[in-house]
Amino acid sequence: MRTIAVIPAYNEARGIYDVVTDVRRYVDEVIVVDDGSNDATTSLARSAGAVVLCHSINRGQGAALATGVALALEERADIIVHFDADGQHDAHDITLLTEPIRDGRADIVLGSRFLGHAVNLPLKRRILLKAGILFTRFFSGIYLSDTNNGLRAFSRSAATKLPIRHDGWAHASEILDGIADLKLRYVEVPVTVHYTPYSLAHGQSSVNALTIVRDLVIEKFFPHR
Amino acid sequence: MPIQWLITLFALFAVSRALRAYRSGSLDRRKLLIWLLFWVATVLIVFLPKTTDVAARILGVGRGVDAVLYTSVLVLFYAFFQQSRKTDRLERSLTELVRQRALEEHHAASDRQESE
Repeated sequence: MRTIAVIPAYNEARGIYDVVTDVRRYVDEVIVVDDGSNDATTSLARSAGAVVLCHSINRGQGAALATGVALALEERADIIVHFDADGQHDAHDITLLTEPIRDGRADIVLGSRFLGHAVNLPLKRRILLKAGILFTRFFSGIYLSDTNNGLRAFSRSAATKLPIRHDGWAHASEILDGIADLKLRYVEVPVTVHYTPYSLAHGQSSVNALTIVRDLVIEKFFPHR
Repeated sequence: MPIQWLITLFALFAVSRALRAYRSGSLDRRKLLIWLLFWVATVLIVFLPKTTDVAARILGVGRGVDAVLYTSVLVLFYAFFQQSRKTDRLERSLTELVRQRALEEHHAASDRQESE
């Protein structure tokens, strides 16, 4: 099965070369979406062997993912893996992550750092994530041990049925809502997440969490279409 | 009362702005008309506050000024809501545009590579 990884990247010159190199060992193709970076992200990703799409202006992580997924579908991907550019994920988790789709057991596989290892996860961040889990239970009605984890795998049909419409961080919760609404088969697999000062600085801030909640609540009561 | 003149001055300022925007083409005739009516009505209410007492009586509010304030707040909140929806739609269109451009550039580049 043709597996393509999509890596959204915004000013990730520091780590993108290594991330692409690692991920390429586990997938057939790596698509990096440079989301309007003003550093060498594009050239470094390209020299590491990724197909690079460039957003001319910054549109957010969800937007970048959706662009990458669009190309992956064009390039006949059977499995699409979302992977973070900041080096917090382990590339060898990809094998475990894609297995349930290859076996036909699931449409979507979500990486869970609480089933696996969260290395150096600060307490504040842990509380925030737990709150996110409760929020998901309440709003999407699906039970997960982790939410807002950027490491996931989609079957081709799931990626087609569930488009990412939120440009910003809220896309993670949007995906969970979509799973519930479309009754897709999902499983969680344990993955390792490394928290380094670099990945923490590049991730969501606590203030962003509030923005996500606001976006999703508005979305709940006033659906777009 | 000084407040009446202050509000009138402000209304005049706002009207001059609206006229200027209309002349430069950034405000269409319908919107200009709506804004002119709005500011004229504001000045009328400021100088003849008793006119709003009718509305107050119908709504069951004590004073005309209160009726105006309550309605204003409601209208403002709703306008803000509409505005934010509009911005969202704009953002979506912008993203779609950026996405299409990224994909087109990629296809053009790979076509070039193939023909070489």
